[in-house]
Amino acid sequence: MLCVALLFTALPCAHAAGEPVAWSAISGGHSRGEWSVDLRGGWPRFAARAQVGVGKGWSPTLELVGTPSWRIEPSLGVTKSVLRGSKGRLVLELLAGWQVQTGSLAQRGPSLVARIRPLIQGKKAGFWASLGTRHTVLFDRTTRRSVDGSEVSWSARHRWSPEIGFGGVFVLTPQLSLTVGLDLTFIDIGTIALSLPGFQAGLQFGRGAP
Amino acid sequence: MSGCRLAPLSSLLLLISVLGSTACVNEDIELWEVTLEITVASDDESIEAGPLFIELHHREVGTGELTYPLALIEAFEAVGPGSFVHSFDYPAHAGTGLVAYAWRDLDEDALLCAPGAAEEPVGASEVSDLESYSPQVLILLDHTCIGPERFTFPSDTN
Repeated sequence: MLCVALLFTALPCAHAAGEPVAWSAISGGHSRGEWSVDLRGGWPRFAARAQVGVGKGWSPTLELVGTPSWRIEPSLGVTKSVLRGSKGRLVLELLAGWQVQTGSLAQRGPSLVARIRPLIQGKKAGFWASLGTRHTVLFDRTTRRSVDGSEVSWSARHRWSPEIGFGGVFVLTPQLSLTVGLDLTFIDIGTIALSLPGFQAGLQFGRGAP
Repeated sequence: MSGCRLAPLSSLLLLISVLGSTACVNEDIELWEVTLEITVASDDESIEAGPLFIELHHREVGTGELTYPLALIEAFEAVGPGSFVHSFDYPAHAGTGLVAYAWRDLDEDALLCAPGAAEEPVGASEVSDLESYSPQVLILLDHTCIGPERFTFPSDTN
């Protein structure tokens, strides 16, 4: 991944006068034609996001978030910048996908994530934050058997996992940036109620709007 | 006349619903509606009918090295010695077999053989023919003051 990122930094920037792609990569709300990839690792979670701008601050987003050997959450959705200026932006995002958790507390089901991402941007560095809420539905099947036959019914349970993250982003080139941060995920509020504090570091690369 | 044609979006939503419901089952619960005909008897004719505590257990739960004998399904009160019928949902997904355990509360203190109290008769029996959904079981109160774990019931693997 580092080699790929360095390759992109060596290519001539098609939009050198524009903002660094770091701001869009960190928060979202890309300009039309702008794209980015955000790769983050740390403890205990990792994340990978790919976004492309389609105009008016909308960015379809593909995301993979997880905790190694335990939980993985692929999602697809959109981000939208609702406030945007030279000093920062505010981005909302909504993604839908799946949640798979292995181990003794195995569970799987459709998942919906909503986040708000404020960003304060300077010339070469900025501050990012992310507040999110994940809602997962777990389906259960009950089969009732009797002398008269069998009957299948379905029920659903809801799991809520909010998350908070914040940190700094550092622009290396218009196409490349680094980020560090802290995050706290609350797993399954009301049932397991496990909180996972963690740290992360990431690499973002992409291209500005043509 | 052409068959029913769903719009592409409706087809996609239907596919997602079917896949979602079949590919992401978490708890897979199987309940059998069982009506159990229980007869509690004693060779001691001096034991009159009175409070009777009944417990229904899986014969064993778990698999492999984690197999464990007896897991309580439900407990209820009855009057006996005598015969009565009890209907319940047998959780077939949670274990195998069914054991019925009973004890006669002679001093009516709701405690089995409390210190200083009289010895109280107990008995247990495994229920066969569970898949008929209306099995019969005879529990003979031929022991005193022991819990269901003191009875042994061979597992299917033995």
